[in-house]
Amino acid sequence: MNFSNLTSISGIETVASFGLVVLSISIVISAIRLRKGPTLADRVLALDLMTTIIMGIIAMYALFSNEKVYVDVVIIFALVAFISTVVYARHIERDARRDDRFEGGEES
Amino acid sequence: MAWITIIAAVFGVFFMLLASIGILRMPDVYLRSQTSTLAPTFGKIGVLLALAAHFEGADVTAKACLVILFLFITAPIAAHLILRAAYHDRAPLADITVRDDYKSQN
Repeated sequence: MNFSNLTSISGIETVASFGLVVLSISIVISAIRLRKGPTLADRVLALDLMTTIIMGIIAMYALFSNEKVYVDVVIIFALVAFISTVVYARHIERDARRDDRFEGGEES
Repeated sequence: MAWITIIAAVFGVFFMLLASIGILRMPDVYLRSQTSTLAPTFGKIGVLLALAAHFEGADVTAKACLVILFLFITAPIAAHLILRAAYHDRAPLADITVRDDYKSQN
């Protein structure tokens, strides 16, 4: 067994394992905010953060398993997270403006 | 190269943990959006630099640099859109808010 190769690999694997544990803790913390969040925008922010943390988990697993394929998955997650946040924001804003118009028409 | 990977991965994971703690502890949605925009951007940059340093070959490095550029463009746009929607949805401001400049503009 080649021990020099083993020690140079195991440092990165150890860091990736600790990173997976820490990212699991932080995804649980942001899920608490997703459950509590008083407004809808809070929940959208928590979902956005959870997508980011899932990106980190996939990257840590790519470091752990030494597979190059997962880099593409990280890129796709970055693109999809932006588009989903924009669509949620448009939905919230359209709802708010429609409610404003309805209340204004009722008052006048 | 292994040390660069380890330092970048620890940097990224640390900032992602800070972001999740911040989104739990900040008082209102406007302050929460700060910790859910700035700190995860640092986290994503650290994680992508770790990937670029770990894998040999120019393709992974080029993809990581492109995604970092894309994140610098899109993270402020997403935060701006979601906060404008929250303001029109009348999300309440925290008690420590000093002034509201956007109220006089619409």
